Amino acid sequence: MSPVRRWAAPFVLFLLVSSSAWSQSSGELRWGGDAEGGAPFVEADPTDPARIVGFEVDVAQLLAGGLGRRARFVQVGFTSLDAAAARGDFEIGLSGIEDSAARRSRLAVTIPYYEFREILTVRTADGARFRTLADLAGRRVATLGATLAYDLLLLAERDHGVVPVTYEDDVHPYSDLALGRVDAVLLDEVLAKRGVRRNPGLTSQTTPVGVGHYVGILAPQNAALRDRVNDILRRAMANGRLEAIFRRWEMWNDDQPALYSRITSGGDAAPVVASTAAPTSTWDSALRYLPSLVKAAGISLLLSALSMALAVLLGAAIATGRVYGPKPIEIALTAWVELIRGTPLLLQLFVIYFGLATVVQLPAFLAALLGLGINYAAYESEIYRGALQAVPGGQLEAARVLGFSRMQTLRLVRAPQALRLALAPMTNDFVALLKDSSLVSVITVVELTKQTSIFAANIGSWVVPGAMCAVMYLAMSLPLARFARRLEKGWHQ
Amino acid sequence: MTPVLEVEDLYVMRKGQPVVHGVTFHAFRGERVALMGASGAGKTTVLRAIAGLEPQIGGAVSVCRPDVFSVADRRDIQQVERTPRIGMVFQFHNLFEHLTALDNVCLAPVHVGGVPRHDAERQGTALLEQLGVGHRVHARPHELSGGEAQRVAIARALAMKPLLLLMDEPTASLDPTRRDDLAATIRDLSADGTTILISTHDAPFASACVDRVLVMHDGHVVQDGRPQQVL
Repeated sequence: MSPVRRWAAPFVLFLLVSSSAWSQSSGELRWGGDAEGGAPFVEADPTDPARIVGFEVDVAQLLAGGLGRRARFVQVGFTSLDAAAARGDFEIGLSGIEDSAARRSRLAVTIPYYEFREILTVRTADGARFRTLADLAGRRVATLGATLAYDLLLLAERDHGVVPVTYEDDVHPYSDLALGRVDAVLLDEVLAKRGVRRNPGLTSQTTPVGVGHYVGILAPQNAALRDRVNDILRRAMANGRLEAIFRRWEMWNDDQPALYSRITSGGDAAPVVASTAAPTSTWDSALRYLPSLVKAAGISLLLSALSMALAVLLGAAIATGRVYGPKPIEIALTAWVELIRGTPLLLQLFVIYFGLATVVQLPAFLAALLGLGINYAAYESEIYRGALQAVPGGQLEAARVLGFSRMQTLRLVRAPQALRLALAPMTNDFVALLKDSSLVSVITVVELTKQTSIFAANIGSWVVPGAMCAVMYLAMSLPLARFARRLEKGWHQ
Repeated sequence: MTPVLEVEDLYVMRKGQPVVHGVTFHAFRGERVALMGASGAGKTTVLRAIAGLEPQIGGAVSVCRPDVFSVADRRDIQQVERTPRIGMVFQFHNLFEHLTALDNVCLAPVHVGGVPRHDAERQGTALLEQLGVGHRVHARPHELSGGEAQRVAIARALAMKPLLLLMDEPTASLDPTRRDDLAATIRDLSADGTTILISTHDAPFASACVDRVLVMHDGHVVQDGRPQQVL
C-alpha cells in the first residue's frame, strides 16, 4: 500500500462513520421531504417562508421528540426521495410517501401512519358519465409518475384502454383537467381535495379506486432506527397524538381509527400491490420495461428530429434577417435571440404549455416541439450567422460582378458554403437537443428520460435503467455524428 | 468610333476621403489598357468602381452606352448590383469554393443568362479547354494551382461574354512561362473584340500585351500613352 493510500483509507472511513454519526451526536433527526409538495404535506409557511409547515413537519417533530432529538428538514425532490434515503442524505423520509411492496423490498419502511383513498376527479359536467376508470376508455387520465395511482392507471390502460398522462407536480393535473386537456385525475384524496378547492368546476367521485398508506422510509441498514420510529408511531396512535396532528390539518377521517387499531393490535397494513409494483428481479424488470423504453426513445427521437427541423428553418430565417435585413429587423431579431438564449428552456416550456393555456391550449407534444424548436432556433441562428459571415467577401463580390441578385448569391454561393461550415456545430446541437428533450417531461410528454425515471423509481435503482437509457441515447446520437462526419468529409473532397 | 468604356471625372470616397480624384479616360473595342502605378495609387479602386463594387463614387462610368451607372455622389450599392457586360478577374481569383471549375464557369450563364445547363456546360468546357485547363473541369478551387485558378476565373468571366474584361494584378501568382501564356491569351481575347483593362505593377508584362498605359499616382492619372512612350 502506498503511503498516500495508507493515510487516505482511515481518513475516508472516518468521514463515512462521522457523517452518519454526526446527526446523532449533534442531537438532530435529519428528515427528508419535498417542500414543493405543498400543504398539507410540507410547505413554506405563508406567513414566514423561512419556516416549513405541514402534517409531515408535525410527524417529524413527533418522531424527533420521541428520539430525544431536534428535527432538521432536508429538501429533496419528491422523485429522488427513495434514492436519497438509500444514499443516507437523511435518516428518514416523510413526504406523503406511499407504501408499496417494491419500496419495502429495498428500503427500511415504517409502519403506515395514514390511510388514503385513490380518488377519481372529473369535471362536474362529466360527473355522471365518468364514475370509474372503466368509463374512461380512450380518455386521458392524469396522475403523478411513480405513484400507486400511476400503477393503477397502467392496469386501467391494459384493462380499459385508459390513456395515462404523468405530471411532475400535483397542481397542473387539476388545472389541465379544468382546461379540458385531460378528462380525469387519479390521485389520493388529500391531493384531490386541494385540487377541487383550487379549481372550480371539478368534482371528486366518492367510490375509491384504491387504498394506500403513507409511510416513512429509511436506508435498509437503518432498520434499528426504523424499529424505534415504529414504537414511537404506535405510541402516538394509541395516545392520540397522531390523531391530533391529522385533525389539525383536517385530514382525520373514519379510515384512520381502523388502521391504527389494526396496527396497535400487532397487525400490519399490507401495502397495496398493483401488479406493476410487484417486486421482481432487476433483469425481469428491465425486460418488462424494455418495450416502453424503446417507445419512449422513439418519442425522444421523433420530437428531437421535428424540433431540429423547426430550429433549422427558424434559425436560417433569423440569421438571414440579421445579415441581410434592415436595421430595425436586425435589432428586433438580435433582441429575440438574446431573450431566448438568456432564459431557461424549462421556463419557456412552462410558459408555452401552462402559461398560454388560457389563450391557446396546445397539445403537449406540439408545445414541446415548439418550445424546443424555438429555443434551439436562437442557437442555430447564431451558428448560421457566423457561417454566412465566414464566406469570403471576395466570392460575394465576384457573384455581384457576374450579375447575381442578392437572393441568388445567398442561395447559390453563400448558403451552400455556410451550410458546410455549420454542419459540425449543427450536429453538436442536435445531440444536445436530443438530451434536452428530456426536459419536456415537465409538460407531460413521456420521453426516454422520464420513462427511465419511472422505471428507476419502481425498482429503486438507477443502475440498470440508467445504463439502458444511456445505451439508447448513444444508439440515437452516435450514428448521427457518424453520418455528419461522412457528409462533411464528402463535401471536402 | 464610340468607346466601349467611358470614365468621366471619377471620384471614389473611402471613409469620407477621396482616394481617386477626377479620373477620366476612354477605351475602345478590342483595346488593351493597363493601369499602372505604385501600391496605393488607386489602380484597383478604379477597377472596382467600374465593376460597381465601390459604394461611394462620383462622376460617371459607362460601358457601351447607355450609362452603367447614373451620376450621383452617393449611391446605394444595390443599384449597381446587376452590372451588364463587365467581367472581372480578381487578384485572388475569388472562385466559388464549393463548386468545381466547370460549375464555377457555368453558374452565371445558367442562373443569370438563362442559358440551358447543357449548353452552358458545353460552352464552359470549350472555354476551359481554350484556356488550357480542360483537364481540370472537375477539380475544386483548392485543388488548382495559382495559374490554373486564374484561368478558371478568366473562363468564368468570359462565359458571360463581357464587352469589358477587368483584370486585377493578373500576373501576381504566375511564373514567367505562365505570364507569357497570359499575355498571349489577352491578345487573343482583344482580337475577338473584348476590351481589356488591367491593373498591374508588371511593366514587362504590360509592354508585352497592352496598347495603352495609364499611370496613376495618389488617385490621379498622371500619364496616358503607348507603353513604349510611358514605360
